[in-house]
Amino acid sequence: MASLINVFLIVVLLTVLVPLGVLVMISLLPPGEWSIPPKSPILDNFVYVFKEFKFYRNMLNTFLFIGLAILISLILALPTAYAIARLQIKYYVWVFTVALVILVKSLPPGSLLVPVYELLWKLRLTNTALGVALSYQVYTLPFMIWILTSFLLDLPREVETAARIDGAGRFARLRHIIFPLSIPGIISAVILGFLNLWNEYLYSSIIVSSRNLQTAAVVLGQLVTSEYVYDWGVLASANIISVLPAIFFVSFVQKNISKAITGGIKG
Amino acid sequence: MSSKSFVEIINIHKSYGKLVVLEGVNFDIRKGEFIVILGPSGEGKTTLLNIIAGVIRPDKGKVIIDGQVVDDSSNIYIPPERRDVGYVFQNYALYPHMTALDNIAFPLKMKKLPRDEREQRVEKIAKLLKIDHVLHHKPSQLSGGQQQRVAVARAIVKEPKLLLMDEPFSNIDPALRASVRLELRLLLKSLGITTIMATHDQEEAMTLADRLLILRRGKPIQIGSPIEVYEKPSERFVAEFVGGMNILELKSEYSSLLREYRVEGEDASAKYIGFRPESIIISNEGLEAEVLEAEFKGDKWTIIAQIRSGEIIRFYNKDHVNTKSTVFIKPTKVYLFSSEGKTVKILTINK
Amino acid sequence: MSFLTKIRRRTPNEFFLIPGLIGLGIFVFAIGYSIYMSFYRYKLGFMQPNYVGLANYSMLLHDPVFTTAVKNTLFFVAIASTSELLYGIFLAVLLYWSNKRYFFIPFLIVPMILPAVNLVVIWRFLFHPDYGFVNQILTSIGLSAINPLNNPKWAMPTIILMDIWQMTPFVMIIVLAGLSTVPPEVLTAARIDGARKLQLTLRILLPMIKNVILAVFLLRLIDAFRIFAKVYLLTRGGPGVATETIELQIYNRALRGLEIGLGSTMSVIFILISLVVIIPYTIMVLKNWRR
Repeated sequence: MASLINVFLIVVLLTVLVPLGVLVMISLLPPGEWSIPPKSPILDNFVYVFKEFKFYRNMLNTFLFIGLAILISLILALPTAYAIARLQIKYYVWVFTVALVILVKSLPPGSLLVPVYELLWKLRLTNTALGVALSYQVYTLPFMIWILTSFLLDLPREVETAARIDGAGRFARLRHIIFPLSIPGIISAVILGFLNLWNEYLYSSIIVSSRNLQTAAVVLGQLVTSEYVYDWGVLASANIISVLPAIFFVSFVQKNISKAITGGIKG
Repeated sequence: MSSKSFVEIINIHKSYGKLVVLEGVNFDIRKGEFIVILGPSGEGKTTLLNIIAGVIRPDKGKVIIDGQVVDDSSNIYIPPERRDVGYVFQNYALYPHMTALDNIAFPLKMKKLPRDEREQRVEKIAKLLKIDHVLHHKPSQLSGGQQQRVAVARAIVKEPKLLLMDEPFSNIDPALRASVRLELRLLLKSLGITTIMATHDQEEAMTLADRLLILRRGKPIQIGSPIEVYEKPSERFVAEFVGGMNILELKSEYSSLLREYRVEGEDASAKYIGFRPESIIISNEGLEAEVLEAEFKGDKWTIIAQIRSGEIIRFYNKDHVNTKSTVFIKPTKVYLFSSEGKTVKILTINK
Repeated sequence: MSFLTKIRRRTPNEFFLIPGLIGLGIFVFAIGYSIYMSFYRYKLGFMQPNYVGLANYSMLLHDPVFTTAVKNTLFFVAIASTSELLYGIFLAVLLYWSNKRYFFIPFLIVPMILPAVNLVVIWRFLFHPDYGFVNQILTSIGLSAINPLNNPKWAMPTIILMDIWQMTPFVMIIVLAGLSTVPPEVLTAARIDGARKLQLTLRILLPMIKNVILAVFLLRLIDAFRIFAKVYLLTRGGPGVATETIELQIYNRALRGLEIGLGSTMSVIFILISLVVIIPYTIMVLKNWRR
């Protein structure tokens, strides 16, 4: 029976690996050829993407925007998460805040696109890094509050009580005790945040119009939607390059990934 | 209340929904006293400590520390941050991300003392507690005993008005417990720190306390020095909990025993009779009992015997007694309890 | 006592909520603004807002393109989420009973981290009418080539298939984590009572993680509304309007066309539809997090 299960799983594994393998093989195709597996594989595509296409610039942009967004979110989220998880606050205020977090987190970002864009346009922040980072708050802020609150709820209460007895007020506790102890939670939140946003397309494509400021995801999107794709090889290798950081991250935190995702699911 | 009192606990009540956790707790503590709250696990000791510390608030009653009302269960409430008490938690609650030194220095840091003064005081207290050589380790790198001493150091380094300890020795290796206890008590006494300690270990309580508060199911049962509590228990529960006692239902066959004692008239409310293991002698008259077991205790033997009506009695004897033999035992000091368990009379044999 | 300390003592705990509330508040304000603007016609930069009452709403609700978009969106959300839930549970159960669990998991997670774009590349290539891999195989064994992406009947199912491929691991991981929290003693007791794996799964494991399953289902439903990228990149809403979705409508007509008023109306309708799932989810979380 056990081996039957494993056989099933191997079949499922193949359904996952085959398309990925196809992607890899496409990236090795010379222009004009479409046979799988490629009859004369080349690595030039990767080189081209990197050197001439300057794809790394787009990837850097993505990094920058997401990093900025997460930083802003962390600063805003930590005190809020602390208040929700640990401080005594009036019940209806607590309910209101938590409900608000869930609401903004669950709304399809597309539904907020219009007002957000108009606001950024009026503030002349369209096409800027800050503008993108602010628009990303739709994704990152409720997410950060959510994950941090979940994490803080699990921290031992007694250590904080000890700090109170030692004379530490709220700010002191936040700074000396809560913050240092929540660093592991912050790290998984940051990693998850990156994974989440790396492939963001909707906001990134609307808010940024100049070519050299676009994120990796947007550039890839432009490539793939051109009516007649000739250079599949380039396309595929660009895709693979853009996925590498994510794969790198994931292999790092393999075991913690499920904990991190389910940590976000507690509730 | 007397002006000599340093800490006053007045009529404290605390419930969680229908569950009454503390009821009518009243006592005073003088400056420098070592008070032990003794009672079975889970019956309110930690809650009481937490109320005194300010971590939770009582439903009714007042707490006064050094003349200042810190909690009157309504408008007056001083949070723990400003109560100037030290607290040693049962599982120490050390800051895992800081070294022992930073742990101990933390209260001083919160008082905004300059760094050199902090380090000086930490060194001093660490030497007293013999942990100065591990100050640079983090809690996870310390042994249980060292962690406990760091917790104590952190609690007293700021020279608090009051020190609270919740079962501080329960996680210490039993072989070391006795010496650790005494060392700590000596230290606290020499520093003159008023201390309240909670424990369920009656031996510990008796060794350390100046006075005891016996707490059962949240109700104060007796307050007194160890000697008072031991020799004059106010209730059957105290008699059994502290020191152990054999208790029998008072039946007509035992009233013959009572004639040996100075009895001014039969006490009608007495329902139970009790005697301690060390107050029993083997003689040629008294209760007939068959010896079941004899346990060697080093300086004496514990004899377990069964009397004719079926109850099991424990008593001490200097020498061994053969099992299955029959002996006649007589108590030299007898306690009479009412049907509710209150102590009615204490009678000593007249020689 | 210093002045600052006096102020610090007086600030209630609720103040700590302010940073987050400001951030979130902006978005709530955005929703409010959308509701307000939905009653206007307003082309950004071209004309001033112009009150039209409910005209936008009635126009959209009678517009075949928009109504198709709504239908498509709902179809996608329902079918994709349900399939992913069932398939995900199936996989989680398989992994739970497999002894090589930790070997399979890292690979099975990969689809989740791939960007939509990657999937689109793969799929477009596979199904390309002329030289697509799938078609190469089909023609070589004598069947005719297929072109699902250009076929109104098959375009949406293809997108659903893509989403299932990508998002099932999400369900799988969470359900698996939930299964791991079932205390082993319960299973052992059942085993002693003679139950075998299938019965154990159906009668004990799955019922015990009912809450996890419900939570993950709601999560997927909520998330399924966000399929803009896949649709846009793969089919642009085509062929015709077969894969048109609400987000796409907003993108094209409201943003590319700068019609803020109309876009706001669409956003409001969109929000109302998604509230159907969001509200039960909110209630569930509040109950869970109450201290």
